[in-house]
Amino acid sequence: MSAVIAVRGLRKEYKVHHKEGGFLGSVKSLVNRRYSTVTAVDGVSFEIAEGEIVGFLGPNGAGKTTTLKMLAGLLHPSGGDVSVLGFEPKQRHTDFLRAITLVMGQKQQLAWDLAAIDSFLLNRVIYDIPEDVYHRRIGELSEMLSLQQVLNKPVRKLSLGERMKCELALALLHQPKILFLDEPTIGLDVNMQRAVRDFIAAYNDRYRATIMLTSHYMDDVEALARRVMVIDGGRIAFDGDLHRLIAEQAPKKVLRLKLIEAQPAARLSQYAELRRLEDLEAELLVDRQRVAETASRLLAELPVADIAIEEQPIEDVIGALFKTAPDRKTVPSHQPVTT
Amino acid sequence: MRTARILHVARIWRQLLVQYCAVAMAYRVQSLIWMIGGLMPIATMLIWVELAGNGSIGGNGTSYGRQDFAVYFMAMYLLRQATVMWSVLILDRGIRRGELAPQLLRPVPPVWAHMAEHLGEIVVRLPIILAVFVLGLYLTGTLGSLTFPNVLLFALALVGSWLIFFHLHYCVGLLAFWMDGVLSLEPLIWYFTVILGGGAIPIDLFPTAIRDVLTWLPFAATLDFPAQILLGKIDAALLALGFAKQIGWIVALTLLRQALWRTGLRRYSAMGA
Amino acid sequence: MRSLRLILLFLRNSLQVEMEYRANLLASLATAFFSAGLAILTLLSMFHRTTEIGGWDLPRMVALVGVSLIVEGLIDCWLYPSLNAITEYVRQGELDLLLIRPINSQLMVSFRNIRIWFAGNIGLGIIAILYGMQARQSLTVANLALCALLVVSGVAILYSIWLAAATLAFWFTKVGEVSIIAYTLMETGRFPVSAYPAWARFTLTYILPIAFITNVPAEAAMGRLDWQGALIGLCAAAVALALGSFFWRFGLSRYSSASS
Repeated sequence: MSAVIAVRGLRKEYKVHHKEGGFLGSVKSLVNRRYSTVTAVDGVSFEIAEGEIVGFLGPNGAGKTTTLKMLAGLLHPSGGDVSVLGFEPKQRHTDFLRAITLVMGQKQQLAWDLAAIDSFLLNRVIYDIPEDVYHRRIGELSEMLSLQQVLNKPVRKLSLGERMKCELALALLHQPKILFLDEPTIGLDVNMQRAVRDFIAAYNDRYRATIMLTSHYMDDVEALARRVMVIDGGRIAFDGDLHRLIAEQAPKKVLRLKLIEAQPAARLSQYAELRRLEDLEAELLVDRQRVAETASRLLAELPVADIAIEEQPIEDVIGALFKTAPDRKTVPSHQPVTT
Repeated sequence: MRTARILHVARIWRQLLVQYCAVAMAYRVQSLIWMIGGLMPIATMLIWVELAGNGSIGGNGTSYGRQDFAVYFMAMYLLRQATVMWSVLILDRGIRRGELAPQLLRPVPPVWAHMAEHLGEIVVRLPIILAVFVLGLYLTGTLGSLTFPNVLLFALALVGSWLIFFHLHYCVGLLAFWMDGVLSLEPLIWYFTVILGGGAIPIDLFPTAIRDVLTWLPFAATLDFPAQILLGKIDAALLALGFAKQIGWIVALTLLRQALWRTGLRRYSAMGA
Repeated sequence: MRSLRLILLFLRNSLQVEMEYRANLLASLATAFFSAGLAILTLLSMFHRTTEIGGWDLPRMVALVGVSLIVEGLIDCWLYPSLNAITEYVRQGELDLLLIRPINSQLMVSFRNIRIWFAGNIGLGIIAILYGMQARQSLTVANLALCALLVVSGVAILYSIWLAAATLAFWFTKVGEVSIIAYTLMETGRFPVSAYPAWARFTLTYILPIAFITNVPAEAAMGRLDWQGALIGLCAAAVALALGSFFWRFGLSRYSSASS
């Protein structure tokens, strides 16, 4: 399968100046600036095939947004190769720009003082979308995102959720083949998040679009992505199937118990690691292989009303991954540059 | 196909202008307040008219009487209002706060949108600008001194002025790729333009040595030159020379703008985006 | 006293913020230098063609430009950043955060943001005044003191007008850039009121009191101001301050009772 996105040894560095605190520090920094180089992305390589949805996870400052921006052509890489649909993103060819879209939570394309539909009209002309196609797409997008009431209202009068949906629709009006979504559900309520997730899945399904998506919400990733890349300290710490990640990194499962009679913590701990005990509810962490055995023992030996077997929450899994990875935090290479 | 491409560009421009006229209309109250600042040339006019009294003030081979000052400074009013610029603000915010990013993703040069934004504002302000202009000329009894050919040539020179101004401000704004303080530079462009362009003193009335230098700067090409056309103090040779200078500055500044944009984009640090 | 310490603290914080942005510092110094230079250039070029403007000769005009530069410097580094922020506070709803602090609210909003590096104009303005005084042989301590006093009272008038205009933000959040009126006013103040046509002089003395803000201190520096003139200037300032402060408190009380 040919890769639509191919990245090799991608790097991005930038200079930040250091300052001491206090008044004296400010004066010193006025005269003598000390810079250090921060490596935001440190040799990242991967390939993505057409139609894949890839979740891109990592803590804040790990390099997710920087990588996406380099793929979209907004930032020039400091090193390495990147090719998207055969184009070099930083050249910003018209055909490249027409095939991609980047949605960033806080940045908006909609004109603030006009109705949303006016911004749609502008994009229609810019991307040279024929009129009938344009009306059809607006219809589809409206339907998929329930925008009918909203399109004609001034953007500044819309709620955050309505605005984000309009931004999303606007970003997809020209039917890009590649979607870069940076925190697309941030700030939205639960219903809206679900609506956006469903929409993205439907879009991928209908148009075989390739999607790279970053998110803090594991629900986004779980619902949409089969493949995840975990980036930390500018490097890829994991690239593969989500469930394999969970299985590899989370060799344990969670047993959730509802007790008829309260039990002392010491007693429960004899069976497995006790994670939580509150009145009649307990959570135990058990090795995968021993789940069945432990569960039957618990049912036989303790007054258990109900038992459930669950995966460890993904947050824990990912969090643990960052802790166990060999120290890859960004180490600023101190090259004091004075100007 | 060349024609298809040209048509596409024309359609984009038309839609951009429609969009930004609408945006400017939404801000019309603020625009009105901003236009109060444009009244300064009228105050300057009053000073010079009083100075001239019933005589005239001469220099460098010409002289200005009350009527001349009236026309000159009303022209200054019109020129300054019609060339109102805020690209330094747009670029500073766009580059430093990353608001430029969405525009970089569209297959249209961001500068087109910035131009359209300014033109939209001018279209909305134009009725008031023209009304004040005509009223000023009428009240000073100079309305009759305008001739049709002069007004036409003035309009043409105005287009040239706008282009020069736009690129001048844009180039300074593009410095935001390299430095923090571009907004602090904006008043400087303003002062240079007004003083060295003839907005406080007609260029002809400067001491000769200074005047000779000023006529070669872009500022005089944008303010003094069109005003001279309206005054009718300009012969065919000077007219041609003036337009040639305007074209020269437009070309030079456009090239500078493109060079700054290209090198600036490369430097676009992760902080700003 | 406490208010003074607070003002000094605001000053120090603002200074630290300013030092973060070196390019800003350089740019504002350059702007101050060039704008003063261009103002002098304009003046000298005008005097190339005439011997007096509105009856004022060159040294008096230089002193007037000097006063204008000082006032403009104060606008740029103090009045504009602080008072313009009021509309922002109201719009973002941040005013409440300021008001719950145990400090006089007027003091708080008036001195919050000071951009010290725009003070370049002030230095250049002082030089201009001293030059003018020297040329007119009026360089005495008394004149300087009186001039300084009247500059302060002129600025007090400007401050009060500006504060009143900013207080309008309580009622009209879309009031926008009120500062443009102040800047235009200062531009007209570069010339003596007597240089304008008769019909404009009344407006420029009593309605948009540019006469008090620039002309009066300049005349004081030249030793041409009699004690009645000085007294009127000081009284005008006192009245303006009282009215401005009253209007601010009025606006505040309306705001507090109306906002949700």
